[in-house]
Amino acid sequence: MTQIRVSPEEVARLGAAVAGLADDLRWSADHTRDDAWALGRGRSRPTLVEVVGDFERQRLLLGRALAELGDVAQRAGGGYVAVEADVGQAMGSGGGPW
Amino acid sequence: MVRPLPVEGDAGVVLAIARGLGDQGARLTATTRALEGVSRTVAQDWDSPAGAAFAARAAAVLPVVSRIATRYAAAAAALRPLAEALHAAQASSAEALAEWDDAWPRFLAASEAMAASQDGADPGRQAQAAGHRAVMLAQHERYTCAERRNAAAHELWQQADERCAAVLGHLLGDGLADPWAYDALTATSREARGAGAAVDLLGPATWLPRLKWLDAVGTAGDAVALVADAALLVGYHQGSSGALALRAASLATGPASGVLKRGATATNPARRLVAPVRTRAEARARRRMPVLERFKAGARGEYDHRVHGIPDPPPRHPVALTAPPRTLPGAAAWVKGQAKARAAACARTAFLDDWALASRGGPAARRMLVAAWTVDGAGDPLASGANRLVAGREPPYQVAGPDGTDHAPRHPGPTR
Repeated sequence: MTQIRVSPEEVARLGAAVAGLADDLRWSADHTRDDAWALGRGRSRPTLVEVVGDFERQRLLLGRALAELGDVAQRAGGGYVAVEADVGQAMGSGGGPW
Repeated sequence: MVRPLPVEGDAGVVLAIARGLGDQGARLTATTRALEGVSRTVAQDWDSPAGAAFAARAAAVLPVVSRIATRYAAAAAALRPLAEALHAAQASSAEALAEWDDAWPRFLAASEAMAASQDGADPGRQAQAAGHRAVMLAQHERYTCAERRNAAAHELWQQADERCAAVLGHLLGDGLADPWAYDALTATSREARGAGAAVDLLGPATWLPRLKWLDAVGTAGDAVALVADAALLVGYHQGSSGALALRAASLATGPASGVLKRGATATNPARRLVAPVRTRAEARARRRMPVLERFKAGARGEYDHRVHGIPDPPPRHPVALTAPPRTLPGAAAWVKGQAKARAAACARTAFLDDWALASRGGPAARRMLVAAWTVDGAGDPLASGANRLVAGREPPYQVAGPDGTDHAPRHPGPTR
């Protein structure tokens, strides 16, 4: 039996946040690489580029995993909310505690 | 003489990078905590293929996200003092270079003037050579002092750069780029794919929650009380779901739920033919049947199904069944896959199609269907489908998606 007691709204919101993280990570890595010139000619510049870029393969995988995770969470939370609302409306209880 | 070099870089941009990485790290940390919290809850309370898929994927993602969060936060912390040092070094360098730019031409001019005075035969001009020399020395002091200040600014910057590079270099040793993270994501992703495939296959059926009021359903009672309570609720809007206390005796619930479900999903084709409808509301009203008619239709359909063995209508979309493999090692995977496909079909047929159809029949039909789900206990669709496969007594189930089209005459779904 499917059973969920976590707040569906929270799950849906979390899903949206998680899905957005993948884009944030890519944006952050790209922009940090582009702006690294601002660090001057020292050792920090190439090291910073490595810090945001040496796990590129993992980041791509992570982006895919986050997108899937966010999708699952959004669908689960959204589906839960929709069904509860529909059933609550049908029962004339307005979705209150049964 | 070559003009000293300024300190390169842009402190404002470095600060912006630090701010961006810091914000990113904070978001990642917050998300990690939220994911951990939800995963803990999921492990306890979200018992479904979707929950399993979520937990498996979260487990793969969490350690990687956590390390990235730490890396970004630490990088931001290292960059902030670097930005401050860069700002201070550039300010000092700019001031020193401005001094140098002013002193250097004056020094050159004084040098030339002194040389000219010394070379001349005029005693008056020769006397001015000492003055020119004094100016030359003063300007020399100014520009060399500016060079030293510029060098100190470079030194300040280099020290800050070394410190920052050391911290950043240390972060590279956090193992994020090592194969474990890649393996964790890919391996766990492979493990999660089984549950994930079930989610994709089952679609929204796996998100269907256990209705809260099912918890109030007891296990003792009789069919009479059950049907009476359900009729009271469905037909006359009396009582509340919470107080309904439907007592679902397993032997009695099959026919009762069948009646309710068939009644809920019944359509009224005769009414549709009376006159053309102009609006959606009119069409919806036309499809609605009185509760009594629904009970009659449900009872008649259930009687035909159980007594006369009238088969259900042919399925619209066949389940992807494939021929069994000839080798034993492949047989287990085949059985598992087929069970999943059958279970998915059962889940869809049991819940979503009925709900879509009942939704078009108005509130009474929905209430009736909800009562039917309650009566028959809404058992685990996966287990139910697997049991049917093992029993092997039923023909392959078919998937009928909730696509909004009319299904009449309608398969009532598997009767438990």
